[in-house]
Amino acid sequence: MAHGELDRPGCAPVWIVSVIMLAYAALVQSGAVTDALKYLHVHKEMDTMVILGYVGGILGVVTGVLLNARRDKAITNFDTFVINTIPGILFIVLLAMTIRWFAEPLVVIASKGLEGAFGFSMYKVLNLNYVVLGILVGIIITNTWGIPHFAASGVKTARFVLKMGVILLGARYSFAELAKLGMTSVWMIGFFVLGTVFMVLWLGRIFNQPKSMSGVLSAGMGVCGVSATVACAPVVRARCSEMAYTIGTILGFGVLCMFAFPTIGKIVGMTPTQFGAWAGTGILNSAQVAAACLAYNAVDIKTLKVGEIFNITRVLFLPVIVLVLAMWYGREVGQKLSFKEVVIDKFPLFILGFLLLFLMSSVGLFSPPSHYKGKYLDFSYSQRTEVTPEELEVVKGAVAQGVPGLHMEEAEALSDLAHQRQLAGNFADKDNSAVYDTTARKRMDALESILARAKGKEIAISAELKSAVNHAVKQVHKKSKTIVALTDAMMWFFAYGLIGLGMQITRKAIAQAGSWPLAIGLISGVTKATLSFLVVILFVKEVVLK
Amino acid sequence: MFANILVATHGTPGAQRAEQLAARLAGDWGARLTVLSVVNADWSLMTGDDWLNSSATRNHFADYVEAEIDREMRAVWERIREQIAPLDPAFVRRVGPLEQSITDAARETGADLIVVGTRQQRQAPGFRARLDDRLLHPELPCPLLVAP
Repeated sequence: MAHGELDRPGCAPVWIVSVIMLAYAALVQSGAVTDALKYLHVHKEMDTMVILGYVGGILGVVTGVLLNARRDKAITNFDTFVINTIPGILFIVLLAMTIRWFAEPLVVIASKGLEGAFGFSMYKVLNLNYVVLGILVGIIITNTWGIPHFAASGVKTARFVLKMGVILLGARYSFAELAKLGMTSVWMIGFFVLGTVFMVLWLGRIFNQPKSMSGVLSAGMGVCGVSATVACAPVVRARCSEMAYTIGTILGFGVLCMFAFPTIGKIVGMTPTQFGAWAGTGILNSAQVAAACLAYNAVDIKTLKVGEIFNITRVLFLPVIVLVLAMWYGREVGQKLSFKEVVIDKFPLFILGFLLLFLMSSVGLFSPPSHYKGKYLDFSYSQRTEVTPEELEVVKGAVAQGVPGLHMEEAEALSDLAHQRQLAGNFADKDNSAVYDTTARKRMDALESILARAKGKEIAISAELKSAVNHAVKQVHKKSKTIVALTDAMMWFFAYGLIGLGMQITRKAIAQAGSWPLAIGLISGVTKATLSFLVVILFVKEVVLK
Repeated sequence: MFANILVATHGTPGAQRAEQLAARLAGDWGARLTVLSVVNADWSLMTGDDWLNSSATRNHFADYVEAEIDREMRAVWERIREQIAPLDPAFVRRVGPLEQSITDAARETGADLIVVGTRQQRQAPGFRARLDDRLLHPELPCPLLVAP
């Protein structure tokens, strides 16, 4: 079944993708589309557009030539693992570029336009940022036209790229954060993972389900969704129908959670730590945790950092749960499995990569001492350095109403923050770093002056405005250019990986859900999500994140 | 009347009625009977959004699912073989979309009649996939008989 060989992709789609990327890069570089990009408010990422367009386009041309040259030759490992995957990789990159720079801004504009008719902002309620849109596009493509043949091999790289994203995230934690979050996550995940596993096993007995059914469902609902099902099904000797029921239930419930969690989290006003903890505990699938965290806040990575720690803790529980289920099931049927089969084979190796990046970062490999904690300022344009959409609304509101007592420079800096969404220099000066940086530093001084005067009760500003301005100032304090580059790469890796992952979620797989396993899955899933929500709201406090 | 009958079954109650009807007709007419079982190609989509496991674990799962499908299919064939032993049916296994697999198998075996079960109101446990008449009918190489 999953071993299917993929033959050589066609050349024509590769040429088409390459021409689109090269043409787009040339258009952006020529300045012909700058006004349109300003309208969409993505003009600050023009440099990235040009680089990605040219690199992708040239790579596509080279791949097209190689594909053509090797058309009649036998397929080697080089074809299978390199040449055949590049068309699919470029296809997803092109989708990611389109979604990030066109689809998301258009959805925001359309959502604002329709706000009057609907009475609410669809963009805000459904968190339709580029991450969620990417997954949706992936799901739509795979369930309508299907994954194009030329892209089939490349789409499979999404799994690897997602792991790379998590590994790169390792460079963004401090010892203090990891220690604090790690302890909280071990307790919460330990309780809820084991609790859900035992609850499903208990419900399985109540509903008179076979042990193999309860076993495979308990792993999926308790640990990490389909991944746990794949790991545990052979251990508990699940039947075909049981695996199908479990995977259908988990996929359907997981997709619902991915959309429901960010909306609920925003309605109740969860902090990044609280939402990350809740998503990391309550959502079944590990990638959907990342998606929900990025849907909650894709501007900075606070929520993602918390969610991923919980997620990684949960993934580490996978071998433990496989061991427990193997013992529980094996005792009855006399089946014996080796320690290697159960624990070592199931250990997620990419977590070692995460820890390696964390250790490298901790010993200062990416951050020279002079760059630590705010000594290095990064005013360059990036979505990462923007304030959140909610904060932007607060700033815009304050600018529109006017803040009494502000000096002219302060009012101008606040107005510019509302206009640019971030603390930065002028777009027109972006190629002249001296002028650009001087303007940005003046604006930073003005914003810090607002905060200082508000603290000294010289002026009165709302707590929300204070928080938004404070966040804007904090966003430009970076550790090092290497860390910034790693973070930007990580965000692209997640966007890429989640589009590819969306392409794995099929209607046919979700349609397998049904019968008692669906009922048991819903009861245990909703119980876990509800109880973890209450625990997070009551006991998890904000952790200082950098 | 018909000399070569193909019956498609996955062992569910509805499909068992198709088996019985096909066996009776084959017995009455002295026709050759071929039993077709289709492994649903959509099983390849069932690793879903698993991104944590290594390829070794995923391959192990794939092997396990293949073995399970094979075991379940052989159990169905064994039951049929015991029930209609005198007819000495042939058994064919195909992997792919249901409609395409049935029509392909009918062409390859030279069947002049295909027998399938009715659409059941409540699906039996197993992989949930139903024959789509709109896809099957235009491709049929011979008459189709639906067992009530």
